Amino acid sequence: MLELHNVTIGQQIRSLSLTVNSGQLASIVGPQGSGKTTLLRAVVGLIAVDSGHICIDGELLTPKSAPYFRRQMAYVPQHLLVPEWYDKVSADYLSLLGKAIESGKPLLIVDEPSQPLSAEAQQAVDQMLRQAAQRGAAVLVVNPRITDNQVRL
Amino acid sequence: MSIVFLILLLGLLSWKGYLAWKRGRNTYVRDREQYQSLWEYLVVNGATEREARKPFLARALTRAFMPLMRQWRFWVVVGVLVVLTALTACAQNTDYVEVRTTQKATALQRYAYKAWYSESYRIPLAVSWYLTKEHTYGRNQRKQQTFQPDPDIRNAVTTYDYMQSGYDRGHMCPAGDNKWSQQALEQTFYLTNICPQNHNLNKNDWNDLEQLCRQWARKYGKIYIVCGPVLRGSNHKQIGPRQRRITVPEAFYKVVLRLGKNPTAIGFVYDNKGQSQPMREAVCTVDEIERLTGLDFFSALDDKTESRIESHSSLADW
Repeated sequence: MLELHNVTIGQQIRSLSLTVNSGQLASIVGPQGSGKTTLLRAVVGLIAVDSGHICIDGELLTPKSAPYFRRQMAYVPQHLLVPEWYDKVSADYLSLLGKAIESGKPLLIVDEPSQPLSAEAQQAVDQMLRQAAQRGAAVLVVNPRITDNQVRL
Repeated sequence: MSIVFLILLLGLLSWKGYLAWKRGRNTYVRDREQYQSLWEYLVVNGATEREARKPFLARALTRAFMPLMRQWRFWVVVGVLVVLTALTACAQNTDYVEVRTTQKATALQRYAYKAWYSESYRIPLAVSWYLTKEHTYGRNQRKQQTFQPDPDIRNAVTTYDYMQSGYDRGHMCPAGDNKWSQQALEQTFYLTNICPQNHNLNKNDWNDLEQLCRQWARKYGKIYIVCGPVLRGSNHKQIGPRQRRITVPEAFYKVVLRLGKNPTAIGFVYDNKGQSQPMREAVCTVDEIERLTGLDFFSALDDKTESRIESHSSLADW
């Protein structure tokens, strides 16, 4: 589903390759400032990679072609600032994640929340992510508690 | 006057519009900066850029125009200016074929011309119309037409009153300018549009002038024409039966106006006689004709333009 080949972005991510297949749950871990969010933003096409390439279903993703690929992606950002005059989206991490999983898109890109979650919320998140992967979605997540397929930056 | 109100109105609207635009633009730029994460979230989760821009634009529009809605004083001023513009625009006289008469005359509004008919002389003092390029073409034939007494005039002149007089029934507004409409053509045969005219003048010099006017209409698109009799002195020749004496004018005038970038007028006076009169010598200024007839032409023009074009007359300008 999602493949990264020798991706280099700035100073933080150097020649990284990884593959996430459908039904697979992959987790990126690393200390603060190691480029986890940057990598996710590159995968959804918000920023360009300096070298290497990102493929989705074997097709090259570029910032210009990203809108076509985003139709099959759901993205949960690290933090979302929602103005009081916009009521279609809630800023709550759990509800954003729920919405992303409900959308049924085959590729989920989930960043970790900027505010630490409570223990129950953490459990709920982990469970939701696992369920999504079981249903056949490819899930790339920043989450230190998921250890199945871990990529360390 | 109307232009002043219009400028004020446009000025006010563009100033308020500029402020609203600035307000809206600032809101949009600030929101996009502050809520970049929302924009990214929307874009990445399947919204096109256009769709993602929508909430920001809606917000900017609201911020731009809502304050304007609450400014009732502004809307009152706009309303007053609109009303004033409309009223002054309607009140402005744009009737270039209006003729002001000092003598007693009955104003007659016909389909294609206006006439100021003197019931004491039994001839029109002035007949005015505009002629366009399109009006110079037409299929209606004057041959089938007969001269008719005007139905709006009591004791109206009949075609028999001209018989044996030695004078032609000379059209003021010519049939040739009205072939585009059967009704217009018929009405030129009302005897309130007719003056006793020397046969040679009618057939030659006056006819040449009418044809020249049609050429000008084709050249300039639209021209305004006023013509009528010149009555010199106080004793005039008369024709017709005792109960309907018709005054024979000493001469005829015709004034022509064209508007556009460079408004120009020209006047002609032809004596009511059979000898040929070169057009060059018949040319005179509109001012002179106003002096001869006591009429005031083209009063709808602004005074500066009117006095400029009425004091100068030259065939070279046409």
